[in-house]
Amino acid sequence: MKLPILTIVMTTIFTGTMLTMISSHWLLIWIGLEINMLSIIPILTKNQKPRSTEAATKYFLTQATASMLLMFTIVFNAMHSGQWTTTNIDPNNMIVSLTMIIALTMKLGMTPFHFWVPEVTQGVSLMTGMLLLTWQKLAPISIMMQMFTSINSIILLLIALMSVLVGGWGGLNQTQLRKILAYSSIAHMGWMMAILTFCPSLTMLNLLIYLMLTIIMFTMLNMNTNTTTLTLSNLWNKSPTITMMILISLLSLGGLPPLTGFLPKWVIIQELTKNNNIAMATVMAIMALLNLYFYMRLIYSTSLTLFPTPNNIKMKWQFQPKKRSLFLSPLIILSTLTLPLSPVFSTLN
Amino acid sequence: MNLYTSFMLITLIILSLPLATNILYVHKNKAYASYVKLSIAYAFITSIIPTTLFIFSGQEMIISNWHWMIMQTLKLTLSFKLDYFSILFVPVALFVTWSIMEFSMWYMHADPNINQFFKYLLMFLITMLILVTANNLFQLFIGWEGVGIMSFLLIGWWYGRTDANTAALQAILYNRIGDIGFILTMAWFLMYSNTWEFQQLFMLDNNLDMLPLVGLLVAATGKSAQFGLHPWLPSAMEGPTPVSALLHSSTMVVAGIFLLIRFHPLMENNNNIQTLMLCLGAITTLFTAICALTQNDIKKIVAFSTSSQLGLMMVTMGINQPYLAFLHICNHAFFKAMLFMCSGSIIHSLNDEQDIRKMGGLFKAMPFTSSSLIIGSLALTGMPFLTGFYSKDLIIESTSTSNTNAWALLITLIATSLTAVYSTRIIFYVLLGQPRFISMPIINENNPLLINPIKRLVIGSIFAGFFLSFNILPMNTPQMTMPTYLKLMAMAVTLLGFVLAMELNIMTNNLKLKIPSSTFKFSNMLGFFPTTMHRPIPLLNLYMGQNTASSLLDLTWLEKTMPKIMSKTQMTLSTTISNQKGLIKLYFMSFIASALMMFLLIS
Amino acid sequence: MVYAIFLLSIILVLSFMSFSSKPSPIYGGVGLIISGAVGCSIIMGFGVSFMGLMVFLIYLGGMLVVFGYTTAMATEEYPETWGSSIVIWGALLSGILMELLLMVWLLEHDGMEVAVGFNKLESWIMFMDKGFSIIREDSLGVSALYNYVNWFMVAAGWALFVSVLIVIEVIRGK
Repeated sequence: MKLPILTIVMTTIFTGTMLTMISSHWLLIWIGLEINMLSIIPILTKNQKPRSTEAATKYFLTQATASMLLMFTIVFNAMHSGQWTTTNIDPNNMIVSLTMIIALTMKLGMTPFHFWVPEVTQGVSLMTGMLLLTWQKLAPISIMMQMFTSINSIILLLIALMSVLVGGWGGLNQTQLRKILAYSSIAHMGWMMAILTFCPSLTMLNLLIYLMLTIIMFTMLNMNTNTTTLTLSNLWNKSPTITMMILISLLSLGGLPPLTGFLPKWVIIQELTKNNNIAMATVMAIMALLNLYFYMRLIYSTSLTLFPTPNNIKMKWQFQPKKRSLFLSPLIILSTLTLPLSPVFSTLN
Repeated sequence: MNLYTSFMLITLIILSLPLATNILYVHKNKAYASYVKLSIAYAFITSIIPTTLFIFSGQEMIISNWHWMIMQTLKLTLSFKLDYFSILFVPVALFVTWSIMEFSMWYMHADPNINQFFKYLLMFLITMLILVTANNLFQLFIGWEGVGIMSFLLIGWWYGRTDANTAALQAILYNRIGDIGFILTMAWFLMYSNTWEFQQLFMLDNNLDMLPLVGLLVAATGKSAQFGLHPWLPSAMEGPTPVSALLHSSTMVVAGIFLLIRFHPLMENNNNIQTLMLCLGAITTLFTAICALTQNDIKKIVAFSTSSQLGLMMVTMGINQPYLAFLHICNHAFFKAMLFMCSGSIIHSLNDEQDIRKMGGLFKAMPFTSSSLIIGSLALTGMPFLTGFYSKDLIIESTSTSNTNAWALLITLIATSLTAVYSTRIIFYVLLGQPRFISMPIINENNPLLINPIKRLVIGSIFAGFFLSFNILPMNTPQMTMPTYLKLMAMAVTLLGFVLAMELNIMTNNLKLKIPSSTFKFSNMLGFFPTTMHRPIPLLNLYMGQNTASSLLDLTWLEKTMPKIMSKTQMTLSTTISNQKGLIKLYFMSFIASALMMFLLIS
Repeated sequence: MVYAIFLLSIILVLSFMSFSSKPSPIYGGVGLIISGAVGCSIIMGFGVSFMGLMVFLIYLGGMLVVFGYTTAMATEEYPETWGSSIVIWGALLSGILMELLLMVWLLEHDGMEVAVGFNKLESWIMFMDKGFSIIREDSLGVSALYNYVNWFMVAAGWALFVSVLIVIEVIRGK
């Protein structure tokens, strides 16, 4: 891709999201989502492979459907209330509130509408996948957070629960790292949406920590271009440090107590139980075990065992890695060791 | 102030000295065996004194030595009951054991662990004396269990042999079944009478439930090898001969009968339990006599004769004559110990040969042993004016003149007749005829360690019954008058047995070998009882254990229900959920379907 | 008028069916154009003439391009038509049946309002800026949007530009 075009495309990706986040007018929000969606298409097809094209097509179709639904909701809402402001969604209007949820969860890739997520992520390169699973979540979640008071909470909780279930079970059957991370993303979206109607600042907290963890996971995988469990298992003689860091980050992603990933799970479960939603909290905690299980399987093949592969030399000679990863170290620290800072996160309230 | 209690305690102290001096390493000494024998002899002599006092003044006594503990309202003391039974039994047991000890010094002289053997025998005796002299259930239970444990150790003395081990295990297991009854009774008394002291128990209530009495009967059945729990007794022959002698004469097997005698005050008014005892005893005595008929192992015949006599004692308990049963216990101890010692002498001389078919003609080679054996057998069958006569004849007379079960009486009479039959068989095969053993083993019975104890017991077998019944007043009213044919009944059936057996033995001795009849098999295979009881039931239990513990619990509940179902569910769900074909049309179809479902759900 | 709209709606259903049943692109393009035109006519039939006209113009322009491309790209000698599959006939039948049912239902309840109601869009409203005036809501509302929120035009323009750019970029290849 030519540099000017890349510049325009990247700028539009970021401005689209920004536009969505700062607007209070539905039309602008919709425009932001649209240009963001459109401009990520060339990024997805950057590889010029059939898989990428297929992924881009799938992404475009689902996102366009979601945008169309959103547009329908906006117009319908404007017809009934005569308002274009984001906060003025009529919570009693069943069609508006439900269609809004459907549109936004489709954009986020939550459970009944999740099928595209693993396939699109698997079809694109690691860095693009990272963009897809992190930056693209921001705009829909920001809309959600602006209008959470008028959302039908039962349906949202149902969707969240299903996402957690699918995120747990779907990842069990995978050996592809990008698919595993995609299912992990589905599960995390479920956790975020589960708490949204009770305490949106916790959604924010979870989103932040999830973003950090996903970014470092993708960055570390990208350093040696690992896309399967098998290549990950041969990492020990290439970059032993990264092996260790993958271990810690995966544990944090799974939400093991001394690490930062524990914080959102902890507070979300606490908040849910405070709101008499014990059954949901229990199911989510149990399903988090499934997530933890497939993270542990990755850890096992990465750093706890040696696969019987022909690669038996102790240290592999290689050039200095060309791929830069600027913020790897601070991000690892932030995403694994900041559980003691949990009081700081309470200022999000 | 008399010497009654002091001498009794001196007896016990003398007995425990060889054990108490363990710290001085006396038991490593070569002379330990004779030391133990001497201790028992001295204990016997000191125990004669209170017995004499009892005979002349008739006084009974309870010694409460030491307050043990108090549990809630239950007081436990270390207390000895020196009454009719214990004061008479102690010298008898000591006398018999003294002889047995001396005999063991000859019989076991080659055993490397002879000192330990003597220690075991001594402990066996001491636990039996604890049992006999106990004045409360707890102390009695200590003796009871001690007897059981020591019998286990002694029967399994030659633990290198499989048979000895299984015999020991049988003994301990059958005794555990009896213990269940004992513990049941203890618990019942604790709950309903709130005491374990005998005199309080007997004072409280004489019309009890059947439950504690049945518990006692079960205990006695286990310990005294009554029918149902009897197979351990013939198997116990795997132990050394002195052990058999001690086990069958004055300790262990009579403990069960002794327990019933002790609790007789609770049973004398209960007709149901007496009928039970009568029938049980009658079945035992006949069954074991039948089993004894065709055995070829000399010790096994003698063992079955013990079992038969125990059945007779049980019958005596069933007709409410505990004093008679006790007298039979004491008389029986003499000649039964002697019979075993004679068998031991023969077995030893014939180079450890126990099969009576390979003996014969020993009348010439071992005159002393043969005479003793004949005297013992005659005493066992109840030949007039030998020891056995004084109790056995009385038992038969009491049975036949009482208004009890005619069936039980008939069976007992048949068993009495059979006693004569198998005694004749021993005498005929072992002593008479031509020798059938291989060559000339070194037959030598001139060791004083062998001669003296047998000699003492021969004297006992001849005169003990007379002395005992001459000196002790009968506690129950004996049957004074009866028709002549009833009086002669016991004699008649015994003589009939002798004659029949003699004829049959002579007839069958030289006949051609025939395929055995099923009657013979029944008798020779011990009524098929051990085969049917020892195999299918444990097999069933083991299968059930395997099925419940392994198959049901481990493989089904603990494995299938949780882990397997869990992993199966997760695997199924996981494959179902992640089984995407990449067909975008289907995805959109599902989008529409789920959106519609949401609308339906909400509206 | 009602019958005319009903007729148009039947044509709309038919044309939708015609391109959604996967015929050859040429036929699909024709169905699409017809459906666009008919849809705009229905809207105009409800009295929303400005919006109908605008949509028709823009749509027709886009559709002509698409039709031109598909015709140019079509290389099949015997292109697939509608009549080649029995499923389409079934779908067609059921679609018309549904449409008839809807008509009956609407006529029974006399409620065109129940389904759609665009009648407010043509009303005249008071407009207050340097003195009062009365304007048409739809046509002038659009111009007012771009007049008073002028940076919105920038955003909309940027969006259009990006759309074109990205279409070209995606098509262009390496």
